[in-house]
Amino acid sequence: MSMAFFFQQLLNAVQLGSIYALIALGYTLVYGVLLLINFAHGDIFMAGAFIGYFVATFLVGHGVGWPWGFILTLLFSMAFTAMLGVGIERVAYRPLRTAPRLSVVVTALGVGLLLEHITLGALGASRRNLPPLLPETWKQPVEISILGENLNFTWLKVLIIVISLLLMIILQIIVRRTKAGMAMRAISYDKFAVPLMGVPVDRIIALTFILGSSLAAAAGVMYAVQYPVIEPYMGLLVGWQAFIAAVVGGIGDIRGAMVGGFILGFVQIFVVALGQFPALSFLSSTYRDLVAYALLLIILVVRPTGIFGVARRQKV
Amino acid sequence: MAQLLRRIKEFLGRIPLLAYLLGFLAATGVEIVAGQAFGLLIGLGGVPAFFGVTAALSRLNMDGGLGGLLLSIPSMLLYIVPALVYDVVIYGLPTLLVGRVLAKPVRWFTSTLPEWLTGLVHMVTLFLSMWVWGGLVGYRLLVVMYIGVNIIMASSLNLINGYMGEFSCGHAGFMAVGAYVSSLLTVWLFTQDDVFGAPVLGAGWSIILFPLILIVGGIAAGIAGLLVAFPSFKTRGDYLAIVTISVNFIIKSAIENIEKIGGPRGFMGMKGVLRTMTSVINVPWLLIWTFIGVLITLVVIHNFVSSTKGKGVVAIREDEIAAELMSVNTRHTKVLAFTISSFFAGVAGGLFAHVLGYINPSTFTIFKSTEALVMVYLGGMGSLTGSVLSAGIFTVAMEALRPLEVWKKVLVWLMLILLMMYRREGIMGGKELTDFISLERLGLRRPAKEVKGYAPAAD
Amino acid sequence: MPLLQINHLTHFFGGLRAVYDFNLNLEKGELIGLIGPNGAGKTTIFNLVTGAYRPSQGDIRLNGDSLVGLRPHQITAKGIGRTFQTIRLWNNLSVLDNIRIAQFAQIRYGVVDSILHTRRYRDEEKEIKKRSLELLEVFELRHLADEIVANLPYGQQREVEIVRALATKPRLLLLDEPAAGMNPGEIDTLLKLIQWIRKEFDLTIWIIEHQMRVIMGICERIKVIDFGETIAEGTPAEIQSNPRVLKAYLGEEGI
Repeated sequence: MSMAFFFQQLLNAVQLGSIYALIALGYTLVYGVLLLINFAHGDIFMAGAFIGYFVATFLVGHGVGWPWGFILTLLFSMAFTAMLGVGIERVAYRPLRTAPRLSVVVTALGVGLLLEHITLGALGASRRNLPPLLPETWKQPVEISILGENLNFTWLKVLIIVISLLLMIILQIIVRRTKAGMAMRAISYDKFAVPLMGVPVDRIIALTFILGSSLAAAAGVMYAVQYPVIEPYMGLLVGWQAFIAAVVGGIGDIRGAMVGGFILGFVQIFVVALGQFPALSFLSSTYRDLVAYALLLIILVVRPTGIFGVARRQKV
Repeated sequence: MAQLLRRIKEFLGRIPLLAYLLGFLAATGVEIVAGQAFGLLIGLGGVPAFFGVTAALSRLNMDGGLGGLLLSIPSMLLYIVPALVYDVVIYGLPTLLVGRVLAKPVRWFTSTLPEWLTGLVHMVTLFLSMWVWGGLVGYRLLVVMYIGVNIIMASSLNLINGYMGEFSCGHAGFMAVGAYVSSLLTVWLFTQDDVFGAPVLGAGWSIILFPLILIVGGIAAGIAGLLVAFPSFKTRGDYLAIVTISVNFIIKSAIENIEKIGGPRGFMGMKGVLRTMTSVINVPWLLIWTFIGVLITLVVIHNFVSSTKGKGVVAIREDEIAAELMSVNTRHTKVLAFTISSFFAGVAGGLFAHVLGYINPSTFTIFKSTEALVMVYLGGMGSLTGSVLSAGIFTVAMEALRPLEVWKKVLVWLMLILLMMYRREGIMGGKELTDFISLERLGLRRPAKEVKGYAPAAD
Repeated sequence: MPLLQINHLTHFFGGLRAVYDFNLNLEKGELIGLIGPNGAGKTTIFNLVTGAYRPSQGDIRLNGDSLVGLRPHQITAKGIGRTFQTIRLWNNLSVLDNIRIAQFAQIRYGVVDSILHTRRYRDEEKEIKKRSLELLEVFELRHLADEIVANLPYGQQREVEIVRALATKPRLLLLDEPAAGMNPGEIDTLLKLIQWIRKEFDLTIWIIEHQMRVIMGICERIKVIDFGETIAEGTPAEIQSNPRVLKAYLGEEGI
């Protein structure tokens, strides 16, 4: 494998991985606090992309261009999607907080499918394209020469990686340094004692959904900038990959979601990349998902708690 | 008013099930003779395919925005009124009339037969009425067979989600395995096909081998079920749900990657298999096998879960650790449950493929799995008759709501959410239909005093 | 040979030492007690013996056969029945079903038999049902056979749990705090019941109790553990006067 090729794939992997990681964080935050696998989260990501699409269309239509168009799209999409996430929690999950866990999981599954088909019914199945928010040149490959190797990259990829890392750092600060973040972690340790300590559980849960949903929205907008396909089923396709990332890293663990996102990004990009070699040509891109799901299945069988997860022992 | 209701209930309750079935058969006869003319007379334009429900809903204008939708409502109502008249005159009155007249003779007749023969007579009558009624309009037959496939799907999933209390959401994956394996076999053996070439066996074999091939498809699906069964030793609850979903994805993705059988484009040729079968003996083979398939599924699952061995499944739901400590071999039981469940999903898949005549991997996504879930939860976890009822209601509703296009799905998922919020136990509340109406009342079993010999320990 | 032989049994939860070097020789027909303060590791020992946990070190033998590494249902089938500290019946099933399922290990028919209702299936099911009803009859619970367990009062649930344990055909019966939540009157009945069961079913019985006075009356031999370690062993009289026990155990109950 040539150095240049490797570098290019590495960049692709980090970029894809950081989008996965952003979405995976949403799965993990909610699981950490509510012990609920929020199956609807992939569709929150989809909603984020669609909201981003409408905001961007509006802004570009009113002559707002780079860089404000992009920044505002990102922020508005995050805000609206956060509202959607909190709304779902309020309407669908909160009434079930004392119900058996599986019925909440079924509800989450139902909410996800509902979002998909409402979008499908209201907006149709056609794929949409984000209006140009970035200068065209950002998508052009740039060549630099390091150690005699010509390496290709695009500024867009760099931008996505930088924004993702920035958001992850902000999240870490919120969770580690603020009072609300501490309450959040406390709830994930002990669901029953924390309310007794005067922590407003409802507000903390709402905050969790705000954080998770806005990260997903940011991922949605950036995904839409990179890959020009906004469609109702994108939550099912991309969201599930991110979910796998969360499980691989150890669902409920924030570092796990990030690491898992990058691992999955690497695995998928390199499965496709290796297929370019004649000897491995059977690895067409259609194997990407198959490999991801096989990885998930293996992790679940061998180490269900993922890389960072801690085993919860069942008391006899 | 209450008095009237009670009298109606009494009147209806006095008619045994068999008399109703014969009544319905008679009504179908009325429809054959007079349906077309009567339908034209009251302005329905002929025999309505499905009690007029589908036709009524198709009057709704889904493309003209909200205004268009509202404006189209009167035209729907204008259709509903004559459709109701049709249903009452053609179906309702003859069924009740004949049922009432035959009530006594039927009770006498069944009392002379041994119980198993009574059951058989019911089955044959039910089958005949489906056949005759369905034969009148081709579309009806299709819906009846979909109902059958869905009953198999729902009741087999109920074994896992209801009786065992695990959360499987990948049933469509096993259905896909059964569908592909049996379709590939039948098309290879019995038809001229682009992939496989000339038929391998003579047409006569198709009749004999078809059910066996369905079973082979089921076995293949049962083996695929081990993909879930083994992880279930260690993981449960929502983690096992993930396993089932990923198995669903893996199966679908694997099929997509096999170019030979059509890859993502799908596989067809099963209509040809059917033509081969009917060329030998011209009866509705698929209806027959769907019917028998449903019966076998229900009998197997019922007998299994009411045996002490099968009750281990329920013990796992109630308290898995206590089950293992109280001598239940939980691993063995889980493997059994998952294998039986996915076996029947595979059989349902085989039937489904041949009813549709064409399958492709994207038929068997998590959407299809979730539809099976909706049926299980609608009917009630741990209730087989609930699954039968809900599969019927769900399938008919899906057909009736076809004019709503995508919004039909929105309604389905909305219903799933509402069920979880307001009625987690489903319509049957974990009970069987026979807990409300006794078998004696239905005329399926003789009154207790005459029962002699062995009564199943399970009941 | 002792019925149950436990040598150097030690168990860790992560870094926490729950049981340390526990030894026991239990002769056939004995009725012994295991006591200790809350969290001393009593239930953990039961869980180790019944296979719910796999011991970190040590050996457990029933009639000379090692039980270590067997799955719980295999150990139960070898003749160890138990009840739980908090009742763990299958709540939404009938009393009869609870008793029937506990005879799982006695089933010889296969799935196909159960589906086709073969003669073998019918014979075995008839036998299982008969035996279940007989057991219920003995405990005067037969009239409750079709009752859903969750609907029974606490005391009867306790009894049903003992019947369920007996249905597994044990030689050794482990009772985990059978008197928990009972008033003095109920406790007296329970003690009589235990002694009667022992004779009637020819059992060896091992009882965990948190309340010392409960088993002083019926146990021939008592072991006391604290923080996973055995601190005393002997007859009830010896235990009652043992200073270490008084310190670790009775001390906290307030003298």
